[in-house]
Amino acid sequence: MNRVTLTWRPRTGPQPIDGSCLRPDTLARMDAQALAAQTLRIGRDEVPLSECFDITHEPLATHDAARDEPTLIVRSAPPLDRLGELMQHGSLVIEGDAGDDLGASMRGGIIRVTGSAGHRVGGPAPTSDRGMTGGEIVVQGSAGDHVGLHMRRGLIVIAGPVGKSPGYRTLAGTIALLQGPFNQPALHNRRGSLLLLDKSHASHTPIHAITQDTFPVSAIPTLGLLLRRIAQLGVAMPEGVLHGRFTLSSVDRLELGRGEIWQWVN
Amino acid sequence: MQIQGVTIVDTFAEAFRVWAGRLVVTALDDYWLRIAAQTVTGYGTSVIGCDAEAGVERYLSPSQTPDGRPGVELLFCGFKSQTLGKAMLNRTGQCLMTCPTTAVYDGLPDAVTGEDSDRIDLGKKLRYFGDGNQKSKVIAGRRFWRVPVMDGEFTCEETCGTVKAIGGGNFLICGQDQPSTLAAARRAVDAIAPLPGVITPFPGGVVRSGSKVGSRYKGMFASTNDAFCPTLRSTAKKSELPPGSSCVYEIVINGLTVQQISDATRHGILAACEGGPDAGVIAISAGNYGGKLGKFHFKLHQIMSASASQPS
Repeated sequence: MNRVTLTWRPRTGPQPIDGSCLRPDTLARMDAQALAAQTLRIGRDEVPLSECFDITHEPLATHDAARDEPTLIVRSAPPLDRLGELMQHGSLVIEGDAGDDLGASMRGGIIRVTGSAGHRVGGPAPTSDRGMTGGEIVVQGSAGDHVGLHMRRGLIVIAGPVGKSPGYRTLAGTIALLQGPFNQPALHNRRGSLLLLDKSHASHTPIHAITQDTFPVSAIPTLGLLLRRIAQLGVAMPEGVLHGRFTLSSVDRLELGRGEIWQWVN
Repeated sequence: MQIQGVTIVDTFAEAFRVWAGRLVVTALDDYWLRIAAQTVTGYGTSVIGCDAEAGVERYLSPSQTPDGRPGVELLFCGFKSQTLGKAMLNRTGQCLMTCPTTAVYDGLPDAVTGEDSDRIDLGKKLRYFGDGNQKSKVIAGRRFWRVPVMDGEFTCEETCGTVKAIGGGNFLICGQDQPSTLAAARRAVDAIAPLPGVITPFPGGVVRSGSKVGSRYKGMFASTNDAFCPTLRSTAKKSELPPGSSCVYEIVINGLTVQQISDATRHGILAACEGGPDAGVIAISAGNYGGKLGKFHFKLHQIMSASASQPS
C-alpha cells in the first residue's frame, strides 16, 4: 500500500473545486505516473492533479499487508467539496478545512479533518439517495448544516459547533457532537443515534422528541463502547463524560420513533 | 527426574483436538461479574457429559475491556465449532443475558471462517429476544446488538470467533493423603490461573475421578482410572500408584496452543512440588491412554527439562 500526500499549490481565482476524486482507496493504489495524470474538476475544466498539488508518493513498508490501509493526505488546500465521496476503505486526512458533502455516500474507511467541514457531512452523493453507509468521519473543527443527512450506517464525530439540524433525515448510524448549541437535532430521524456531549446545552428537549429517562454510562454498555471509540479516534473528550449520566430521548415521533438522542447531563 | 525431591514419572499426557471460543464478559461490578462467570461456566467440566468445557481464563481491569467496566475472559471448548457455537449461544442466552448488568463481546475478533478458525452466531440470534425492539450498532467494524431488558440494555456482539485448540492436557499429583495432595493441587491451579490462553475446567481446577477410555459396560465411553485408585492398588490389573501414595488428583488443562499448555503444565507441576515429599507430594505422573485418545503428547520430562536444573 501507499501513502500519498497532496500539497496544494496556490492558484488564482475562486472557482468551485470538485474533490470527489480524492479517495485513498483509488489514488493511493496508483503509481506516481498515473497519479500525476489524474484530473481534478475545477469549474468546468479538468486539470491534472500535478498542476494543483505537489505530489509525494511513498510506498509503505508493510509487514502485515492485510492490515495496512492506503492513506491519502490533502494538505493546505482550500475547502474542496465532496472529498472522500464513495470511498470504501483507507484513510483520508485533510490537513485544513473541507468543503460541502464531505464523505458523501462513503462506505468504509476513515476521514479525519483537522479543520472544519461544510454542509451535509456524511450525506448523499449526487448519484445516491443515501448518505454514508459505513466508515468514520472525524472533524476537529466545526461543521455546517444537516450533518449525517440520509446517513445509513457509520460514525460521525464533530468536535466543534454544528449548523442547523444535525441528524436530519438520518436513517441509522451514530453522530456525536461535542459542542452545542444543538439546533433541532434529529429532525425526521428514523433509527439514528445522536450523542450530544455538551452538558451546558442539556436543558432543551426538541418538540419532536419524547424524553424518557436518565441512565449512567455503566448501565448502557453500548454508550461506553461508543464513547471509548470516539476517544480512540483522537477527539478530546469532555472531562467526566465516560462516567457521566445521559438522558435518552426517542425521536422523531412523527417517524418511526426509533431514533435516539443521548444527551450528557451530568 | 526429580523436582524438589518429587519423582517426575517418565510419561506423557495425551490430549486431543478441540475447538475453542473466547467471550469477554463485562458487568457493573466485580460481584456480578463473578456471578456471571460462575454461572455461564457451570456444568462445563468434560465433553464426556457436558455440552462444552468452560472456565475463566483471566479477569480484566476496566481499562482492558471494550466498555470500560470490570471484565473477564472465558474460554469454552467443544469437539466441533458448530456444537460449541450452540453451547455458547445457549449459555450466553440463559446465563449471561439473564444476569444483571452483563454485556458480552467476542474474545477472538480476528478469527475468520476457514480451516483453522470459524465464526459462530451469538447476538445475531439472541437479538430476537428483543421482539422487534432490538437495535444494532457497528463500532470500529464490529456489530453489537442491543436488546432491551428490564435493567437497561443487554449488549452482545453479533458473532464470536472460534479456533482450533487442544483439550485434555493433564498431570497427576500423587500424594500421601487427601489434605497434602489437595494442598498441592490448589497450589498448581493457582499457578496456572494467571497464564494466558488456558483454563482448568474442572471443579476448582481439580479432578478426583480421572478416567480411562472405554468400559466393560456398553454405552460408557469412559470409566474410572483404576490404575490410580488407591482402593484398587492390590486388585487393579496394573496399579500405577507409587509406593506411599494413597491419593491422586488430576489437573486438566485446555488451551489454545501446545506451547500454552506446556507452559501451564510446567508452572503447575513446579507449584505442586513446592515443599517436596515433606509436604506430602510423592510423584507427578500424567494420564495417557496408549494413543487411543488424542494426537497431542505432552512429555513430562521434556516439559520440565527447563526447570530440572533447579535445586531440589
